[in-house]
Parts: sequence; C-alpha cells; structure tokens
Amino acid sequence: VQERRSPTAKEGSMLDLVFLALGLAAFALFGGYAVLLRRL
Amino acid sequence: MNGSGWAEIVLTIAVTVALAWPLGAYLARVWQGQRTWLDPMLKPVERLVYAGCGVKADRSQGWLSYAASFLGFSAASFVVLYLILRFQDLLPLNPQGFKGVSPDLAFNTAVSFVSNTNWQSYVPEQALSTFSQMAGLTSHNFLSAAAGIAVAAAMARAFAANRGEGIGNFWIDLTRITLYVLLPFSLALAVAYVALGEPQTLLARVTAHTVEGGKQTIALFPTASQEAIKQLGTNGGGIFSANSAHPFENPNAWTNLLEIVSMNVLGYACVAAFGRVVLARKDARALVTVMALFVLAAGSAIYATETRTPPAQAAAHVATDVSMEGKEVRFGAPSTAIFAAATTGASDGGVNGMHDSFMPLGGGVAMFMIQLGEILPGGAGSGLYGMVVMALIAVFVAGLMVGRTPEYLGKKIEAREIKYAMLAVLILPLAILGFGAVAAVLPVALKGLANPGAHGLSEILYAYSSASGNNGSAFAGLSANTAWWNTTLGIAMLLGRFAYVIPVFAIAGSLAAKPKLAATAGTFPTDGPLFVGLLVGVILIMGGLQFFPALALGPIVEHFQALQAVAAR
Repeated sequence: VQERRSPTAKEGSMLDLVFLALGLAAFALFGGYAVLLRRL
Repeated sequence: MNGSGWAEIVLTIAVTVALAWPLGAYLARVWQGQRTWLDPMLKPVERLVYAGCGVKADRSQGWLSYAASFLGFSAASFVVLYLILRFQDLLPLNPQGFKGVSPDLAFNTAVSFVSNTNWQSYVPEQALSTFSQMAGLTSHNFLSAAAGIAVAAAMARAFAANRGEGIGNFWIDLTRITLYVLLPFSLALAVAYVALGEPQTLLARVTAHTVEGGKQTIALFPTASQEAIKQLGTNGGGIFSANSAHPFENPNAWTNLLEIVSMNVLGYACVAAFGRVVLARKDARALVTVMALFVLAAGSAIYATETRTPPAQAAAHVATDVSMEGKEVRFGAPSTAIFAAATTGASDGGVNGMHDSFMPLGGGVAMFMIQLGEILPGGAGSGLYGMVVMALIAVFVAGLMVGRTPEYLGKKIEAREIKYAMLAVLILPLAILGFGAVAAVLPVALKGLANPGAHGLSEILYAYSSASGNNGSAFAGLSANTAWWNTTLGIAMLLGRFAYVIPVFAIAGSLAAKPKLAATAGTFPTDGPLFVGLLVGVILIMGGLQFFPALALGPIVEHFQALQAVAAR
C-alpha cells in the first residue's frame, strides 16, 4: 500500500461530493440507458 | 503432476455439481414463491419485511420497473456504504481506532461491494473497523448477491412466461433470496467454519508470545461469518489481506474444499433452478456441462503449468517439479489450481494463492477465465443470465448456419434480442481494453505497477478484467490505492455490473412478452452434445477474438521471455 497524504477536512468534503456525485450520476445514466433500450 | 492431484480437481467439481441439483430444486421453490421447509420460521419475518417496506406481494413488475428497482436499490446501497466507510471513526465497533478511509477509496470500495465485485484496494485488517466489515461489507455481501440472483429469477420467469407482462417483483425476490437462501445456508456454513477452526469474535486483536520470546499482535475479526457469505455469494472480499491464504480464513484442507464448493455451488444451482422453472431440465444440464467443462479445463491447465519445473530452476539444476511460489504449503499445487479456476470462473475473487506468482501461462489462464464473461459457472445469478446471453448468441449462429429463425427454450430469438445480447457482451472488452490501453501509457497509472514489461501489462489487464468482470481478485503486484486506480477501477466495476445487466433486463422483458412455442422437428436441440460443443465454441471464439491480442502481449510473451532468458544463459 502506498503512503498517501490524507486530505484536509475541506478537501475531503469536496472530494466526497465529487465521488458521491460520480456514483449517483452513473446510476442515473444506467437508468437513462434502460429507457433508451426500451425505445429501441 | 500426479493422480491424486487430478483426482482432487475432478472430485471437487463433481461434488459441487452434485450438490447444486438439490440446491437448485430448493432455489426454484424460493423463486416461485412456493412453500419451503423454512416457512414456519421465516414466513412471519418475510411478511414483516413486506409490511415494513410497503411491498405488495401480488404485484409483478415489467422489465423497466424491475430494472429501476434494481438500480435504485444499488444506488442507495452505494451511498450508505460510502458514508459508513468515510465516517467509521464516528461509528461504534471500532476497537482498532481506525480513521475514515479516503474519499476515492470509499468510492472504490462502496462500488465494489454493491456490484458484488469485492475488489479491495486496501489492507482490510489495517483499514476497516469491525463495524465497517460487518454492517458495511458483510451486509452488502448478502444484498448484492441476492440482487444478482433476483435478476436470474427474472430471466427464468421471462422464459417461462407465455405472452406475459411482468418478470416478477424485485423487492420480493430480494427478500426471499436473502431470507430463504443466503442467510440460512451462510449460518450453517459459518458454524461449520467455526468447528473447523476459524475465529468468530468481536475482539480486535490477540497478543501471542513467540518461541523466540518476542511478542506478536495478531488481528482478529468475526471471520467465519464473513467467510461463509464471502464464498456462497461469490463475493470474495477477504477480511484479511491474504484472503483465503490466511490461516484464519482458510485453516485446513476441509475449509479449503468447503470454500471451493460454496463459491461455485450457487452458480450451478441457479442454472438447475432455471431448468425447473422453465421446464427445461435437460437444457439446464447442457449449460451446467459447459460450465463444468471450462472449470475442469482451466483447473487442469493451471495445475499443469504449476507442476512443471520453472525454467530458471531447471537452468540452475534445482530438482523440483512444482512451482510453489505464491502458494500455501498447506494446500500445494492442485488445491491452488482448482481454487484459482473456480474463483476466476465464478466472479468470486477469493484466492488461496497469489495469481501474480503463478507461471505466466497459469496466471494467463486465470485471467482468461475472467475475460470469458464470468459465466463458468459465474457469480450468484450473474452466471446464469450471462450464460443465457451466450446461449442466445449460440442459437442465433446455429440459426444462421441452417437458415432458420433461431429459438431457445420455446422463445423465438430475433434481431432485437441479439442486439441486446451484443450490447451486453461488448461491455467487458470496452472496459477492460479501453481502460487497460490508457493505463498502459499513463505515468500516473504506471506508478502503481511493481513490474515493468509484459508482467506489468498482465497486472494492468488483470486489474481491469477483475473489476469489469466483477471478480475482485487481485493479481498482486499492483498498488491500487491511488486516486487513478480507485476511480477507474470503480467505473469499470459499475460498467461490468450495471451496463451489462440493463440489456439483460431488456432481453427478459422482450422474451416474456413473446408466446411460448412448442418444439418442432425443425427446432435446433439445445440439450445435447452438439449444442454443448457449439456453446463452448462461441464462448471460446468470442473470448479469444476479444482478448487474445492483449493476452499475447502479457502472459504469453512473458512465457516465451522466461524460456528465452534461460536459453540465453
């Protein structure tokens, strides 16, 4: 395991938003993909 | 190589397949909402869950609604698990005093356990609290496996339906599979593991006094319960970094056998259950035959590569006929070979040896098993629906050859289903080769590699294969706890699970709406050796066409480099 600098609390909060948004956006895209296939 | 080694491989597969039939019969009853021997105890709990969650037990969903429930449940699970991992220092049961994990690691791990992958970029005993392990990871081991089996149940209903509208109810499937299958069988397995020597405790550590007079601190966890669902749900994530090579996770030959059997049995059982629901038991037998043949071939190939004198040792005149690097002395080559074949064929990902340390071709076979689509016998549920996708392509190819409209299990297979099937099978090469190609030239990615050259490429390929195939095993040699690897492997896991399963839902919906046709003299038989051969060919050719060029640059060229290096001495 590589040694890594821990993010500060502010950086951590920003990154939390980024990664939560990334995950939820992916699920939303999969939902959109399903709707698209329905119309195929 | 010796007779007992071959016998161990063959017998392990035979025992697993034999146990899958009664389990499949039971699973079919659970899928169909029929009475089981656990009803007196679990029916009140099931009713309570429906009442508490507002589930209407008589309501069937169309494929889009079923898919939306599957996605919504997975998205909510992702958020909950992410928050548990980030704030484990504020949560109870943290006797180790661990801080919250980094955001990118929380993303990777949350996606990993929600997608039934269980890729671990961290050292569990040095990063995760008991609460995170139990409430976060182990609970998702149950739920992600149940969600996968639910999709398999929906697929079975689609084939059984005659101009049907629904493919079942996701929430009922999720509840029944968790309550009636995963929980009771995991409980029985956990008790067996405890009896066979695995620890089950909330203590954080124990201090041992060594014979040299020193002190050794040994991490402890509730291992047996985690181990049970880890294998049964084809999750594979270890409570210790060494996974099933750790003496607490896998203390002896009996636990080793139990782990191999339990990681494959549900994959085969889903097919057996499918055969019962669709009234096509012989066809299910043909699918199980294909799956078992691949595991046998892969186990045999790995056993053969690992029991040849390694070239460097031959050149040094070292008298050995087995390569023990990366293997537990407790298990030896045959137990490691069949474990590796079973875990890579099943999207399990637990390991009792380090695949990175296999001979190049042995590691290549393990990697190829993942790249074949995790359908041999595949993950909990995902193996069945992945194999059905391959079967549809096989009957389509057969239909083209004889000039007839292809049918499978009484359903006419048309252009629409084949388009969906191709959208599903192309996800794996897209994610593996796409991310792999970028990582192979990107300095930020290459920093994580322990080896240059062909072996380094194998490490990259294996990582993305493992993530995209939702396998989760690590090749070793890759320091993956970096922002690049955590993020891209997380995206690969999402694609491998959810971008694959959406077209599968569409196939199920399309097939459910079609009339059930009776077999005629012109129907291509899908229960005999000809279909088995055709399906084996389709799986091999598709896997080979997609991944052989990349494998040629990784494990295959490394094999020849090893031979050449010795010859040049």
